[in-house]
Parts: sequence; structure tokens; C-alpha cells
Amino acid sequence: MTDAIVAPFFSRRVFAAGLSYIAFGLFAPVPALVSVVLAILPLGAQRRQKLTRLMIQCLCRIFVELMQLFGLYRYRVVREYRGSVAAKIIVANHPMLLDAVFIMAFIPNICCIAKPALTKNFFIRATLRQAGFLVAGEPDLLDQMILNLEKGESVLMFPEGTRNISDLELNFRRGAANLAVLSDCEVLPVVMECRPRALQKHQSWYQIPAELVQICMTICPPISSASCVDTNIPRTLQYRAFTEVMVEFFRTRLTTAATTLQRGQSANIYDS
Amino acid sequence: MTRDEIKSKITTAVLELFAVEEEQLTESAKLYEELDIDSIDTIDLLLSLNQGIDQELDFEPEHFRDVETLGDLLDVIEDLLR
Repeated sequence: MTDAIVAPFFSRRVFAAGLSYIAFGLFAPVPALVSVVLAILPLGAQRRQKLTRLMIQCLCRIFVELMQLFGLYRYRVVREYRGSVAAKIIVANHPMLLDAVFIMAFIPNICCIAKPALTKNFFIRATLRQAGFLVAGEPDLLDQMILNLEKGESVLMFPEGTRNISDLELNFRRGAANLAVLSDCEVLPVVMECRPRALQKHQSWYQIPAELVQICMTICPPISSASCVDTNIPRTLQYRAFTEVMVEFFRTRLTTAATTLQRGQSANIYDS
Repeated sequence: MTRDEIKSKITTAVLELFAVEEEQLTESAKLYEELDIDSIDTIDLLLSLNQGIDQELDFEPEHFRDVETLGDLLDVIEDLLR
């Protein structure tokens, strides 16, 4: 897939992107400040965690709406599944910078896996700890994730590890499949579409497509490894087989979406 | 247990647990890059070896920190069984 034509630097869309980054900068200290207040209040750890996650969800939602208001994109959330997300492994593809923000904005009480670099900042570290988020690279990460799922939390994972280069080159690592097989919890696929592609890994903040970006987040019905993979084969082969199942699932969904867009039906798809 | 016997046990376990061909299983074969065996897989491999070897492997994650190839793994297991 070729990159979209980038808007000129002095354009409304680049101005909107700049405003969004400024807004993000202004919002950034809020979680740390609220965390301090919550830490002082006489609350139990569970209640404190729930409130911190709720605050993060609200801030993400505000940010998502604000960027739409600035004219950076139009978004749509499709809920093909409306059941409980408790004890589900939320698995999403990762085309753009805002994927985690969108997912945290629309799915409640998520346990995220933070990058180790984020823990270097004292305030962010305090917020992450209070929200009960886990940190990538910790030796017992898998055990902690299983424990959180057993407590009924949902865990967010991007099996690609980092933002992808193109929609269909889905280079899934096996972490999500490991977790699904070992915990026997269902995977809740969340398909992220961004057309034309924007806010990609190799792009600077001002490299915004000239046309309006349309984002669609689809929360799909859960899938379980036990229903897709022979549970009599060794676990190591189950990890591999279920990873393939997930890749195929996302590839099919993204191919269908791309075909529909090529037919010129995008205008109606994204009307929210 | 001799090195050859340990190697034979590892070969049997790897062929059973992973989608690899026997020709790939040389001592210089890189576990992650060439055989697609990651850290979680290694735990499953060691658990399988524990069943195949009469003596229990008392291992810690630190033992495998520098393991890159199948030969390195063979060295570590040989040490653990001494």
C-alpha cells in the first residue's frame, strides 16, 4: 500500500495536528495530579485502581473527541460484540499511533502493558502503578497477566509489538496466543482501520494526509483458542496454530474493509 | 548421561514440540532466529526434557540468559545434569 499524499505544512490539517499535540501536552500532567489526590484519599487499592483507569478512559475519550473536533479525522466505533469484556484478552492490530488511545477510550477497565521507557518518568510511573498497568520486559509478565485475567480484568495486547508498515503485513508475535492458551481465556479482536494511513511509525507529527483521515474501530465477537485449535497437540504447537488463526482473522477483516473502500463505499461506512 | 544422549533427547523433544525439520537441528542453529523457539517455548522444552530424563533439571531463568544456539542449550543442560 502506498502512502497517502501529505498535506502542505501550512494547511488546516497540519494546524489541527499541532493543536492536538498541544492539547495532549496540556492534558499530560492531569493523570499524575489525579493520581496524587487518589493516593492521599483513604481508598482501598482496588477502588484506587478502578478510579485511575476510569480517569484514563475519560481522558482518552476527551482526546479522541477533541481531535475529531479539530478536523484531524472522523471516527466510527462498530460494536459487533456488546457482551462483557471481563477476563478477555483484547487483541488489536496496530496501524497508527492512536490505537491504544481509541481502545482505552471505548473499552472500560483495561489492563495495559506499558513500555519500560515510560517507567523512567516518576509521575507516569506512579500513574501506571496506581492503574495496575504492567510493564513489558518484566520476567514474570506472563504470570501477572494470567493473574489479572483470573481477577476478571481484560488485558490489552498488540501482537505486532509496534506499529505496522502496511495493513496486511501482520507480523504477529506469539505472546497473545501464549496467554490465550495458558489462561484459557477468550480473545476479543479489535480491528483498527485508518484510511488513508496516518500517524505511522516513520512519520513526523506534521506529515498528515491531504485528505480527511477516517478511522474505524470494530470490536469483534470473542474467539477462544480451544474452539480453533486441537487441544491434544503440544502447547507449543497450539501457540503457533492460534497465532495463525488470529493473523488470518485480521487479514480477512482488513481485506474486506479495503475492498469495500476501493468500491467507493467509504463515505457511508464511516458516517458516525 | 553423555552429551550425545542429551543431544538425542533434545532432538526428540524439539521435533515433537516445534514445527522444525531434523536437518535444521545443528549445534550452531540459532534458537530464536532459525528455529523460531522463544523464551516461553524454552520453558515447554525444558518441561518436556524433565519428563524424558530420569534426573530432574533444577533450572532457573538465569541459566539460559546467554543461550542463543542449540549447542548453548546443550551445554547448559549438560552442566545442570552434572
